[in-house]
Amino acid sequence: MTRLVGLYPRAWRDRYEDEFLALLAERPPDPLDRLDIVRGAIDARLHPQVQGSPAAPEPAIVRGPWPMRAGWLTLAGGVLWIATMIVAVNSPIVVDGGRAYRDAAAAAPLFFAAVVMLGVGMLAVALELPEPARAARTAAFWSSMVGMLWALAPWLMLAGMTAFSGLIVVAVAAWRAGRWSSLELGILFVGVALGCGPILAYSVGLWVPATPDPDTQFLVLGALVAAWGAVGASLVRAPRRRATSQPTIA
Amino acid sequence: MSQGFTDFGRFAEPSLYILLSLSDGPKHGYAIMADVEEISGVPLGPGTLYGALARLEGRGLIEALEPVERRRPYRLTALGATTLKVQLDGLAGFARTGLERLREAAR
Repeated sequence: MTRLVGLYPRAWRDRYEDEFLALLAERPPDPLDRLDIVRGAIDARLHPQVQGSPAAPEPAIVRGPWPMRAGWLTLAGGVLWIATMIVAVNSPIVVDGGRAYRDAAAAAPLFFAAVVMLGVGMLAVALELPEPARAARTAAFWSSMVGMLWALAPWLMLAGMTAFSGLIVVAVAAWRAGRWSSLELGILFVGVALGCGPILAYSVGLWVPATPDPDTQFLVLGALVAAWGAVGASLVRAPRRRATSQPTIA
Repeated sequence: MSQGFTDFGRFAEPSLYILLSLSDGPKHGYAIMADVEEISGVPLGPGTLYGALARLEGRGLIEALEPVERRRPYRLTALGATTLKVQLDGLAGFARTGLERLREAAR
């Protein structure tokens, strides 16, 4: 139940969490109530009625140079990702048994480097999270491992999708901790949905392109550059502060 | 039905029920939920309850009292009581007009 309440913004929880949990303990929620809580959390984020106001000036978040370096490295990885797709769509076409595909071996080193750089960014985001962040760090660790596998074997799309799923877990944790903005999370969601959605749909036979084109997959995968952008930007900019203040009703 | 809460969106009607529920004395969340269900016949979800409570509190129509064992009671403010009276008068006028018209139509 605490997980559902965790969907509410920090300022709201500072003001109402205790009594809300007491209410839920007194009247255990049924599935409709759970849905109502989720709707309430969305409303509290879209139309905040409680705002935090700093009780006292807080010291700046002390941060070494490495998160920013990891951020720049991740953004550079995004450039490499685009370069990977450009090299791939310009690779020679191979026809094998009536099936045409691009021999994108020349793009493999760029692909490897780009994926590793995203893994570095993801680990940096996870390591910057305030405690407790065990779930996010575990997701970051395993995703980076699976990502390495994908970097070495790009045809293992399932590994790639698993790695991006882990990245989303990390990003949601960062958003909940106030480290990521809703815009960054939204960009990541959209990019991953556009990049992985069609490939997943194709893999399970839900979607078949009307005219087979060996370049379609590279165009689709290009949308994933949003992941490098969101992770890199979140690390490069000044750290966001989590609201830790006295709530005031708007 | 609840013109005074035009900016409350889907929380307008629950807000009126909550004000009505608090009109006979302070209540905490669970008591409000039970009372509203009794008044309206429709259960009030916890997310809706607290969305409405936050709006009512933000506009000074209700105020929070000191919590008792984590359960925080709320009570109607003077502004809340006035708002509730205006709303109920409006509803009474609405009902009166409707009933008169039905009577005239039946003649």
